[in-house]
Amino acid sequence: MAKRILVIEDEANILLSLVFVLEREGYTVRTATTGQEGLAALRAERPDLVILDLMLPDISGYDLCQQLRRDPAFAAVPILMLTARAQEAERHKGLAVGATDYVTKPFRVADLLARVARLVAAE
Amino acid sequence: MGRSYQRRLLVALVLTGTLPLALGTALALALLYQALGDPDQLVAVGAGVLGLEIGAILMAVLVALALGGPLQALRDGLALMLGPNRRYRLVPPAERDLAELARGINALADQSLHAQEQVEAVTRALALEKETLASVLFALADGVVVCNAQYQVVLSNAAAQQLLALPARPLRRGESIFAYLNAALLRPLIDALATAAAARRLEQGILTLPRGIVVHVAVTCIQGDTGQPHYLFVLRDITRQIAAERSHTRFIRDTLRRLRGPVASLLSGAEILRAYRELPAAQQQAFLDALHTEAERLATELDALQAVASSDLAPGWADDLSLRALIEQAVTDLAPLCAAREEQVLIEGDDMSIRGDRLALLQVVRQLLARSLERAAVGSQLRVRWSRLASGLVELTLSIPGGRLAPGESEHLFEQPLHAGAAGPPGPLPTLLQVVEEHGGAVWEQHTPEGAALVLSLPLQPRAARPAGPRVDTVGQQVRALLGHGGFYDPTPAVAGVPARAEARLTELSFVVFDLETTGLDPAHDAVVAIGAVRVRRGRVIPEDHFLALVDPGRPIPPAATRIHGITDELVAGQPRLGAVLPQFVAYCSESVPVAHVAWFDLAFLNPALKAVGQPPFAPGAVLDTLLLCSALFPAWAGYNLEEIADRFALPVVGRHTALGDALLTAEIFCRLLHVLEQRGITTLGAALRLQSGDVVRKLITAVRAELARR
Repeated sequence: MAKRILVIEDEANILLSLVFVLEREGYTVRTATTGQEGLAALRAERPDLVILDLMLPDISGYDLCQQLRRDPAFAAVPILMLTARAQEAERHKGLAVGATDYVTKPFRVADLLARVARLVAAE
Repeated sequence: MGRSYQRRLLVALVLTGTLPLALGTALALALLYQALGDPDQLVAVGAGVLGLEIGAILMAVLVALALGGPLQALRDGLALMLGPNRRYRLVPPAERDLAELARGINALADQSLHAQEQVEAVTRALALEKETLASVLFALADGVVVCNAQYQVVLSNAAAQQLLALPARPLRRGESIFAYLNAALLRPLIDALATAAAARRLEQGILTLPRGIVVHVAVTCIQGDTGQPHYLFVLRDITRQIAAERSHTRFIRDTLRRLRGPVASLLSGAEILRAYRELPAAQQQAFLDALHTEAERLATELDALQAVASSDLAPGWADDLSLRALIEQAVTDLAPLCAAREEQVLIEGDDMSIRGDRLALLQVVRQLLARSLERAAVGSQLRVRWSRLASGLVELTLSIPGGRLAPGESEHLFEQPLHAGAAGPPGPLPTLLQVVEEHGGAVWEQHTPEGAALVLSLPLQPRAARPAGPRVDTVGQQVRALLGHGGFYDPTPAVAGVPARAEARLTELSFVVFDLETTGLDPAHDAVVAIGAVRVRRGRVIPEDHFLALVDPGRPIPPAATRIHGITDELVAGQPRLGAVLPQFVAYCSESVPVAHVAWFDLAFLNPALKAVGQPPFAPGAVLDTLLLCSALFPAWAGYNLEEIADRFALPVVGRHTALGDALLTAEIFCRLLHVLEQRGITTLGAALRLQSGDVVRKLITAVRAELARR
């Protein structure tokens, strides 16, 4: 069965590319453009990986990540943070609040796909 | 007064002692004359005379006793007043004159004591002032020199001596200040100050000292009591500041220019593709390729920019702070809150140095701690602990035992404006989060199995590098200048020798960044004159942990080489030979990965010498090369000499005129490259070594060779 990926990202152009390349790789992709939408999508169907933007319009990606980690149902879902925040302290914070991997924008498609494959396989 | 008293005393003694004696003698003689023929009467007369004599002596003794007792007391009292107890006062005796005398002496003594005390108070104040001044002068980072009217140095502090001393000429008393500071520039300023109209005026300017140090000089004239003017010079080393400002300005300008090109291509390419859908496939492909190339260029520029933003170019307001002291201060400030809630704070962690705005960071820590105290269960014990992370950060955790923050409370707390003091800046106050982010840190609420905690991470910052030693130009610089213009290069990258530690993570390794000075550019005929090296650990330069050795090359240093690096035959006379220095250098490098800019050049000098002393040579495939890494990471850059790369990373180019100065600059560049490597997902030593010997580098070398052949 195809692995399911939930992409929570509010930048439409990035979302366009992400959905395209992930679907081409054979993943089933769901999208959400706000934190609340993301939570709803998560509860509707547990994905094999969450790709999470940090700067969402309603809640911060850090908070969403912590909320998921506190919920036993989602504590083990791999979360890949995809963000424009590239300071060392921010990367550390992302991993400290529960992200499994941390990728800064701009990213190389090949690099992102390699990380996604690794995370999904581990799951 | 004393003398007239003595005279009266003498008169009294004469009257009481000698007068009866004279009277008695005269009486005896008269009686003797009357009774010449009667011996019985003579005996009687003799007895009478004797009696009178005895009476006179007794009287004199009595008078002396009557007067001598109080005198002795006065004399003893005086001795006491003049010696051990100047507060002692004479007790006026019964005798009127003596009493007057004693009172006079007492009044005099009072006056004298008062004057003496005044003098002592002033002296004490002066001594304190002098001591304070001396300690201020000593501790002052600014150089202070005082000259007399003849422009001779009369006083200078350590900072001034360090700034102004010339190689063979320390700053000494009595020397003319113009031996150290340019007279042509300073003399007019000073002379203008000497006129009365200019009293209390301050003249200032910026001078470049012979050693390349840029100083801000402020001079003022002090008119002494003697009427002789003295000149006070305050000197501040602004070399780094000026260089940093220049490099920042240049960096911003260059970056803007660099960004405009790719963005222009992207914009026009995208517009064309949208507007002309009927373009032939080949042409469309050409535009798409162009879009991709330009986007790649932008992406690499961003990596370079990020490396700059994340670098430890500390802002001017930053101080070196002790993390422990900061936390202890916050705990002290919050003692009343702790007491009210019967809570205790335990501080756990080795002290670490961070760089930043003391007051702002103190407020951040205080706010976080106050909230933790408020939310923790009453009577609980809070832990404030911190640890160093491999990524060069310190993570500070404030536990909230038995409690937690309400949903959304931490965001609200982080958005709180920090209190400003009475002299706080006008306008909106920065929020806690802004202050943390300005310091390159992050703050969040963490939920762990042990409970909730507030977490603050901040970059650990080493002190600004201050290269020591003589400032000289380098041969290395010449090689690099050549390279910048397509000079010779033959690195023969060797991947075969990737060391056993290939899988070690870059963030966990320690590196030694080194640089050589030589007598010339030909490894077959030239020799090493200096080795400089500095340690890089956890992505930071550790300036204190450095290696510097001057080496006797065993042959004269050609004037051309001295002109570049400033190292003369005299400077290396008596220094050890390379064979004697190498074992120390190898020991310094052990456990660290060697790094150099154009490592090939340095290894061409070091390896034969190592073989000659029976030491294993450096494996070329195991040395990281900042030039190769840079060209692999940023293939579009125009040149890769140290100065060009420093510009790209907004690094000030100062002190880069010694083996150590160059090693420090290379090390700073290497730290930026480590950051970029991490961003690009290159996390192990093996991956970095493979990258630097990869295709891009081969292409570069081919291009350089082609350029050489063309010439």
